[in-house]
Amino acid sequence: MKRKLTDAEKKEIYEEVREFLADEFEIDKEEITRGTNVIDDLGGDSILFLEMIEEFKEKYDINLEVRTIGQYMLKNPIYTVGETIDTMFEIIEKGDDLITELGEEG
Amino acid sequence: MANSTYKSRNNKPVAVTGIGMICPLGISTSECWENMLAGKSGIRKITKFDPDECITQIGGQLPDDYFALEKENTPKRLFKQTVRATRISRLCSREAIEDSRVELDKIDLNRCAAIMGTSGSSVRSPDDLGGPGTERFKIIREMINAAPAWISIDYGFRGPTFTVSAACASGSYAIARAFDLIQSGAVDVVVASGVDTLLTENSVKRGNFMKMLSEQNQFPEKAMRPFDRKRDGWVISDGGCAVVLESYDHAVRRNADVYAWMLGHGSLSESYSLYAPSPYGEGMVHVIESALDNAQISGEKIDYVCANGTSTAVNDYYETIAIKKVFRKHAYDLLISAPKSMIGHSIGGASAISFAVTALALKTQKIPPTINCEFPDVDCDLNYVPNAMVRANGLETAISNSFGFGGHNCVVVLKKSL
Repeated sequence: MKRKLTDAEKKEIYEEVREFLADEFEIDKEEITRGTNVIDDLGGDSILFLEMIEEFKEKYDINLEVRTIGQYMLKNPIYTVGETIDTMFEIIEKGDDLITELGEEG
Repeated sequence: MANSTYKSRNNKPVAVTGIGMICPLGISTSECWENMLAGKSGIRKITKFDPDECITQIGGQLPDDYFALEKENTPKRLFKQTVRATRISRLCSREAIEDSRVELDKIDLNRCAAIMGTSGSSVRSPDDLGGPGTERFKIIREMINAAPAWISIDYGFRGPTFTVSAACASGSYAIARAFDLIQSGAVDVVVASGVDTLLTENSVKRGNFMKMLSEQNQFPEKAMRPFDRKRDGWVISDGGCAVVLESYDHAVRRNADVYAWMLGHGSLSESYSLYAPSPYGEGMVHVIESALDNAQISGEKIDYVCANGTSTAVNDYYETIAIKKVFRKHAYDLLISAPKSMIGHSIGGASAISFAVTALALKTQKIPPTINCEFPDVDCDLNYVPNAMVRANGLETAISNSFGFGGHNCVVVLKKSL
């Protein structure tokens, strides 16, 4: 189901992602910007994004299987916080359409 | 087809250039070593868990300041993704690498390896929880190859990294594999470690059922008494040790400070029993002779034996017999000591610690004692360096014994100088 995130919602998600990362890596939230590299700068890993999805699933009504999101990420790798946020927006906004996209591409 | 990564296979000695150690007597090599030379015991009443339902209520717990060290050096996310055995292995490996002064930015990391020996603490320490959010990392936390994998990531090692498991001989098996890998020409540097954290309620109960643990709860520091007539078994400890091994050429080229040179090893199976050594130390004789043969050195050249010395009636009796059979008259000239008398038995960690103790003894010309040798056993009549360390000027060559459940035996031969 398609939905459109408002600028306020996007801002809120951005802040929540920063808070999640700041808590996880025990650093000041202000140190995290869109350009921060999740793996090289923060010492993160590929499971991190899936953990965030788990955290945000209920609040943002994400019904997609983590497996599907993983498949999406295979073709759309995430390196920076900015890319993480954009992918989060895509997942929330496109919902099931993401599966169709994957099917068409695959 | 020849593997292009293999340089020339050789029989040159392998250098021991770095040591890192965490055991009940300390959280660094120097602290552990000083306490061993002072003949201190790290055995105390168990507080790690409530031992009320266990017959044995004493153990070799890590020093209290270990936990501050671990917290300081383990980021929250890494903590969730690792078990304590992995964290100990990482800390020991870091100390060993720093101690070796090998400059990682100047060497070929494709030719660096990490090998860990463990009896499987990661899946056998169910109470070793990492706090909230841990469960989702269960697979990567508990896989027994996690520690060498982390070390490969920590330092960029791209050579072979893997875990071996051979019960109480796991650490020395890891070191033996490291030796073989270096002599094969495949790698220049290996960080080899042995670690276990099996001081758990489950392990103590099972150990009590098998009647292998000491029940001397009233005198924790007196419980481990290898080769003493009143020995009644061992106590379980947590701990580990990592060593840096380097090829002869690599160590000489960079003018490394060498603790000792590893000349060879014997790694053999008893093919007898899952828990008992073969009668009268037959398997022990076999592996010691194999090690001497592999090192191309005669028994008369050995000065010191770092004994397996588990404080069980059987091991210490058979180990004594085996030493007499191999070394004959020379057995009575040997200095023999059992570090487990002071630190308990950390299973996979123990044999790596013994290896390091042997290297340290050669380097410093000091031999730590076997403590609690108070009541002579007529069947154990060799020089076990009782109760006080000895200075051994001229100490040149030594072996380190480890005999594991399952009949996994490993003996390594070390020499001070070439």
